[in-house]
Amino acid sequence: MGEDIILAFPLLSIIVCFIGAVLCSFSKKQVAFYISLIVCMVVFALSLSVLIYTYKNDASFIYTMGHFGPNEDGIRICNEIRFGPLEGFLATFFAFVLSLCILGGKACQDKDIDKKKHNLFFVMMCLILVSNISLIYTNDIFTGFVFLELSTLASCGCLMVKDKGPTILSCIRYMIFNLVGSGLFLLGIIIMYNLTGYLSIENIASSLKNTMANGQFTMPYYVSFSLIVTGLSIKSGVFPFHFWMPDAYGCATSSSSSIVSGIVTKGYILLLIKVICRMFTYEVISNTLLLNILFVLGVLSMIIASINAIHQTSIDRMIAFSSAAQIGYIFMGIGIGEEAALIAAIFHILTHAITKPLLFISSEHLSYVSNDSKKFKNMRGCGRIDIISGICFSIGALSMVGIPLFAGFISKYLFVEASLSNTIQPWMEILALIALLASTLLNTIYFLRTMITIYLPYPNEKKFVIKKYPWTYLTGVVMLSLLNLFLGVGSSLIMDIIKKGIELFY
Amino acid sequence: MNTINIFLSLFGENAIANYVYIVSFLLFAIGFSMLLFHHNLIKKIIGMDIMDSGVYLFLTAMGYYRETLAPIGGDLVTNDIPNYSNPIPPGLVLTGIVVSVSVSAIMLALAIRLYKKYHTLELDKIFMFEKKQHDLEK
Repeated sequence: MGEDIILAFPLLSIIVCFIGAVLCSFSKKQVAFYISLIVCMVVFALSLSVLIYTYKNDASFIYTMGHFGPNEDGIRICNEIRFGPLEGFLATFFAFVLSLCILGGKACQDKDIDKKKHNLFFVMMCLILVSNISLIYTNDIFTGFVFLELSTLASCGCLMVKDKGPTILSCIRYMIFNLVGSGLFLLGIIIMYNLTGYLSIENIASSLKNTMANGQFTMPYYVSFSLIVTGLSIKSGVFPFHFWMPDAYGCATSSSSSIVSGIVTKGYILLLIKVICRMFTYEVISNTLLLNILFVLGVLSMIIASINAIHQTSIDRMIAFSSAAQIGYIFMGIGIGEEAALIAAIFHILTHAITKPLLFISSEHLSYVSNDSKKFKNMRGCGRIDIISGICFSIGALSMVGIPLFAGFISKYLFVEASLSNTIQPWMEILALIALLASTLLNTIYFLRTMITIYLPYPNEKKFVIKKYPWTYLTGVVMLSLLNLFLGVGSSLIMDIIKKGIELFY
Repeated sequence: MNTINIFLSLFGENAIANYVYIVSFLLFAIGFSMLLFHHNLIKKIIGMDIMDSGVYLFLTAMGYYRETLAPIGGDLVTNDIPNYSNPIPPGLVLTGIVVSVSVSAIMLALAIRLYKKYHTLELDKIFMFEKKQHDLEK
């Protein structure tokens, strides 16, 4: 009994988030801030214990809602949560990063958000956390759809707190893109339920294998595969569907854009990985072109989004396009289809979730010292005035480029290692290596250009002001930089957890 | 009921037998094209609602089997259980409708905010206005 209580911790973390959201909705602004931080810490603690328990026992567990047993045929037809070391680790990680994003962006939030409605922003934070955790843990595809929609609504609410005209336009575009994606995903689920008769991921997988082996229903299954994958790709923001990103991230307050780019989109990608690995298993998919299409979309996204980023004249839109390029890396890793590439993709999810918030938050503070302007021509020399923001932005930029000692280097190294494996097809190997090289060069162009811009002195040098930083900003930004350095230097523990988690993932 | 059975047994081809699914995809297509091609924001929101209605019609129709009873059980502990249609799809539709209502609420709130800022709901005019502002700032 003492150890089995840990099996209920994932459900408990979901309930804690909902309670926190309800409490935040009628609290005052400061109380709501602390409630959301406490919720993040509680979820962090619960998920950490889940991680340690599953890692020690080297097993993945299934928790049935209502503790119903199998029916008379021996099949479990209930809403389930399934967790192993990987899910526990991802839940821990995202809870920690969310708390750092809330902390780091507090000064920007105080500036941008209406004081009477500030507590509602923290309701959105709790809802984003609960939907992300549920997408990680769920074993039932319709529960996944419900929390997918909840994530969309909460992230839209999070993005539109800054009450300016362009923000509302960008939120409308964001909602329309995401709702089309959800509609396609729902259609795919419905067709899959029609064909297999189950909503639970493992039952769908076994039924799928049996009917595909008999050669029945191949065309409806292919339609269902493509609808599900297209729906999730639209929501994640790969190449043809990334046009909502620059407006949405550019016009929102920095903690909103860091949370949406760092956490919300990653939840959709994790659901996609879960659907591909567990629902349509690799044996079924290797007969189709699905993974090849994801690979090509990822490669195109890596190159074209980086080219678009070079043309930008303001820093937030450049970081947003860089976000689209990094998601291309992850899709390339999923599309290769090998286990090493999947590990690289998941590690890149972690590095991106740390680095993007760092870039968004420090760039917003850099813009405060350059007359609230985010254009490059006005941001010259601001890194010399605001030292900490300049250093943290540089750490983020160097990590994105892939300099050793930072986290980005490790993820690029893992991608190259995965591309050079023996079992990969030759055209994929060549294309992946060329794309990695090209996108690294393009990343260098726009990130190092930005670093040079913020450190270039004016002819009549600006006065050197020693600023007083709010403790929330310092904590958030310094912890994110330290996490980045930790992932860059001591990533072997994390790789161990990810490898063990993926073995128990299937 | 009888006329429909005669109709289906006479024609019996797949497209005509599954006319409900074709209508649901037509609804989806009409809603999607409204979302794409109309400039007024309220019409876009209505198009989104029609798109969702198409999806729910698809889901409900999938759960109904011909010549079966509604799945409201009287005496379930008998040996010959009569044919019921599938009770799960209506449950999924209800969940989906709740989601659709929340989505419409958020989009309409965004429309109100947009109108307060720009005093028009035509998206092409708003985009042109923003583009002019952007070019002026440059």
